[in-house]
Amino acid sequence: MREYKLVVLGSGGVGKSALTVQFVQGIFVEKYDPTIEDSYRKQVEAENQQCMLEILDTAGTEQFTAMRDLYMKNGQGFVLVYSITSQASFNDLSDLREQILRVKDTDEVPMILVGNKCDLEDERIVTREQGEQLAKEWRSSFLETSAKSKINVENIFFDLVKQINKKTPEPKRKKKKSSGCALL
Amino acid sequence: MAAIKHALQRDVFTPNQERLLGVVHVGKTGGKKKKSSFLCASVTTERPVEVYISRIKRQEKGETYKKQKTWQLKELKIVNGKESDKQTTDFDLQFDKNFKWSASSVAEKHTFLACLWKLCHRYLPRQSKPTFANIPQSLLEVSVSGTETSRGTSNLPGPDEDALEDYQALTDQEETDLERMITECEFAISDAEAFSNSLSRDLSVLDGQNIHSIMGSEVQVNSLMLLLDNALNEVSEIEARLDDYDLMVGAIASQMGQMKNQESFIQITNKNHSRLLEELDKLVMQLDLSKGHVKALREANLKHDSGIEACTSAAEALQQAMEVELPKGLSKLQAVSDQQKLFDTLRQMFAKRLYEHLITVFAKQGSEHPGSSLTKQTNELKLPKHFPYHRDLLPYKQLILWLKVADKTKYTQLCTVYTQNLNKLYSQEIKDFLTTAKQRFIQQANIDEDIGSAALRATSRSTLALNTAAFDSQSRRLTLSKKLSSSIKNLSGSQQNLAVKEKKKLFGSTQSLVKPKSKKLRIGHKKRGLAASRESLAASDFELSDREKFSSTFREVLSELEPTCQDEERFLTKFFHLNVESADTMMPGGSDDEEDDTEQGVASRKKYQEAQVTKDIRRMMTEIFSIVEPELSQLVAFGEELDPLNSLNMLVVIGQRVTQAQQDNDGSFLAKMLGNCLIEVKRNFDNFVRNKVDAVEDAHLGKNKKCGILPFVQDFEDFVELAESIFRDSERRTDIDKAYKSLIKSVFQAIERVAGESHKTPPEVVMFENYHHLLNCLSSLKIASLDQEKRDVKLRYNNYLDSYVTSMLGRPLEKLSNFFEGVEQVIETGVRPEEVGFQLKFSKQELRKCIKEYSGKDVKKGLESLHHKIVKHTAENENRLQRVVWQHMQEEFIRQYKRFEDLISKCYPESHISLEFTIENVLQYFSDIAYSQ
Ligand SMILES: Nc1nc2c(ncn2[C@@H]2O[C@H](COP(=O)(O)OP(=O)(O)OP(=O)(O)O)[C@@H](O)[C@H]2O)c(=O)[nH]1
Ligand SMILES: [Mg+2]
Repeated sequence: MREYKLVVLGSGGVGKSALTVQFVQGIFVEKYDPTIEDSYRKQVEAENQQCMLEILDTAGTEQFTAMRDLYMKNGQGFVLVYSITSQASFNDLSDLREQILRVKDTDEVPMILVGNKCDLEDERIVTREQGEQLAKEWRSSFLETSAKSKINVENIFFDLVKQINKKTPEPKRKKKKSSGCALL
Repeated sequence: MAAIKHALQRDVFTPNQERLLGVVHVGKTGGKKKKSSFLCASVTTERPVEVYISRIKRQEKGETYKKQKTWQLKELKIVNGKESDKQTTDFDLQFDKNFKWSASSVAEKHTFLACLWKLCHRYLPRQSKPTFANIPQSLLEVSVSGTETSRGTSNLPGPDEDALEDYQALTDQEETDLERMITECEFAISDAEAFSNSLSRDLSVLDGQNIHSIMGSEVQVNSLMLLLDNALNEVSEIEARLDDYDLMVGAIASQMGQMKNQESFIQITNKNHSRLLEELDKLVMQLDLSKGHVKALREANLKHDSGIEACTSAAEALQQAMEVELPKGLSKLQAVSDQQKLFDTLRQMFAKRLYEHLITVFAKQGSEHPGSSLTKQTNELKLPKHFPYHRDLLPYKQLILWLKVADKTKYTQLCTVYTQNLNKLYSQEIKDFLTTAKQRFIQQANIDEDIGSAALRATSRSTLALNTAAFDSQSRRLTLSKKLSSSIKNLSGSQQNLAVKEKKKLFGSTQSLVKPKSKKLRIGHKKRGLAASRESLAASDFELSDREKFSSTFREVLSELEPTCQDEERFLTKFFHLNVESADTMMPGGSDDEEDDTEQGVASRKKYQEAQVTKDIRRMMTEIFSIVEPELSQLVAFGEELDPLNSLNMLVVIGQRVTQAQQDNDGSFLAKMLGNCLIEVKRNFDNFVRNKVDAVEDAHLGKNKKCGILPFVQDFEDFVELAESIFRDSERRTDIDKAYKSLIKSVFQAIERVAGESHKTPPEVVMFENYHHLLNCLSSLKIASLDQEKRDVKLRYNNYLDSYVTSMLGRPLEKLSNFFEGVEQVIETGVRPEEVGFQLKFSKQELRKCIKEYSGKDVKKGLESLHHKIVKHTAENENRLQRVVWQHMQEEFIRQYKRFEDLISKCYPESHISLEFTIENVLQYFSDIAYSQ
């Protein structure tokens, strides 16, 4: 089974954990607990193939950002999340993307821009067009989602898997056993 | 009319020194009112002659007049007589605006207009003459010729004016003459011709006399002429004189003018001088640096407070003097540039002096090791306080500010030197400090071992497989002790700089030292494994306190580190003036000329500067404390190696600190560093949980063993209890909740799996025993997030208990059960209960036969063997559970009994058939058996 290492990034409180947990466990987390770092595994069928998704839910809090480089290096696909109710969370993403490209040292990485909390239409600040525009600049995909109302949650991950497959077709070589987080 | 004119002249014009020349009695054109106004033309008697046209009104009562409006003649623009074809009394005068008048008669109007015409010709320049329109030509021509004739004779207005007059008041003399003349000719009235003749006669006589007198006066005229000639000569002489005087006066005037000019020049010069003086005064004042200051800058002793103070004020004065904005070009003054040069050398010299002095101070502080030996001796977990250093340095604060402005490079260098020095100092201190901390951890662990507690670490507990070979566990111990010893080795090794060989030796010796201990440990562990749960609970109590010791030590470490960092940061900020006010960082791209002064722009610039300053501080802090992060993560790793469960403690402790630091200042060095540390701890924690899950998944049952409470269930309980004590009110609850969930999920799966593998014990027993245990544990701990799982456990427990009871008890009265099942079937087919007994198969005889087979003694025997089996199945220390099972059996038995009784009374009423034993008997059997054990 092919493994996909996906990383979820974005400012604090935009709903990264909510999206990930909704996708992996099918529950909506109402309570806000700042994440330090969590990883999840889920087996899904995408493009007529069984895949194992290893999803790293990262911290949006400024303090926990020093370790970013490492997981950016390891990640194969990136979910960049903002909340449509926060302009700042939208603005923060450009720096993140640049950091990814810098660490990866390419200018094309499987990536998807996600405007979460689209159920909160009343509090919307970032328009759909702004999101689309940014995605166009980045030449990446774009989705507006809601972890609460289960809108487009699965599509995020399926889209990424598709992008990764397209960029790097399954290597034919022997599968290496994934090495878990190494202890110091 | 004449009378009115006279009156007007007298009352209105004479007082004004004007002479009335023309008047017309007018009213407004079309006005029905009486014509009560007069338009008058008048000239002043004084020169220059002004001509006025005025409107005068007669008061209602009496004969007084009042001037209502006056125009100057030159204001008159158009005069319109409105008589192009027929005569009319109307006419217009246009001044600033058009006035329409109507005269009382045509004649009066004509006279007035003619008078105006004349006046215009006389007094107005040609180009500003008003236009005369629609006025009979005759009127105008006459007057013109009249004017011309008068012009011809004289330039003086007097006689000419007289000619204009058609009326002159008679003088008194004339009047009397006239009267006399008329009285002399009394006949005049009766005979006009005679009178006229006499008059003409008189006239000719007078003419003749006149001529005579003229002729007679010729001589006199001649003498008069002579006189006039003389006078003329005199006049011209006087004129020549006057010209001389004039010339003289002119010369004086020009001299006076020159003098006046010169005086103003002098004044200007004076003013300039005083200004210049003022300016110079100011300049000198601004650029002056007192001798005392210069001396202070040159040689004041920077070691003493007084010297520092003097230097501070001197430096400030110097700074002020250097910052003076000189007007352009002034710096070209030799003195100024000299002074500036002096300032510059002073600045450089003092900057250098200050720099060197501070560097020696830094170096001295960096080389001193106050208390470091002390710490080692007392084994106290304390970092040396830098308060005295800061106290010693703070007096230089203002000088540093000066340096920052005056010599940026020196300032930057100073920062670097400070950073390097302190880095060395702190590195040493923190290393020592953490070494002490680690020693303490190990000591704690050793003490525990000496006390003889079987439980060293939970590493073994997390690997719960019962069939783990003894060898396996031993090797694990060995690696642990190796790790421990290597840490010990590091502690001593790092300081003493041992040769590699020696190191090896040391390593070997330590290892051998640890070895026996590890053996002891292993034995203890084995024993514990056998002794099962109760003992392990006690052990976990012990370990709890052990772990508490770890976390309290860890807490102590952080409480020492944190204030040290914070103090240093505070000092650094103050000492090096790292704040927005003295920041000179510019927005990138924001060029100076297009400063954005809007409120928003200012705000964003401020925000940028703040971020920049925070970054600067953090950079310096990171350089100074470069040792902290690796040391701390080493400590984390050390704690984790000591006991993976420590990750829980560390997660909570650091998590708390991070939140705290975040509130204080989330961009600070400390917050960032702790954040990084927390991520590492979290990873360790995740890893720990994953290992636990893996261990549970790998757990297997030993072959010929009674099952009882599975080790991993017990372990789960211990773990949850411990974790709860650590996490109870922590902000990181979510993390532990997540761990619980994944752990309990694997525990469920493992229970079912292991139960299936069990040979000796029925799977139901394995399951209900373990679920029962879990249920108790979850109920007593009350973990909100595991409520769902608790319900699940309860359900499973009940299900498995029920199925065990039914399968074990089965149908203890088999034949009776069959008999009554048959009865029930018959009833179901529609036979009335009372009639069942009439069927052959279910007759009373048949029933009695069945009943006979189950005597009370037999039943009791059966129950005894059943109880024996239960005891054999369940774990020996689970008496309570056995009783629960027994209770269930009893209930089931009685349920069946009651069913039989019920059916007997329904189907065989009044037959007095009953079982061989009563319910009371049954209860007695059950309790007897239970207590006999
Ligand atoms: N209405 C609404 N709320 C959401 C949605 N997604 C997340 N939230 C809420 O937003 C808050 C933050 O969600 P998290 O998923 O914890 O945020 P995060 O991005 O993981 O934050 P960090 O871990 O600090 O980086 C929670 O209270 C969620 O309930 C959504 O789609 N709609
Ligand atoms: Mg999160």
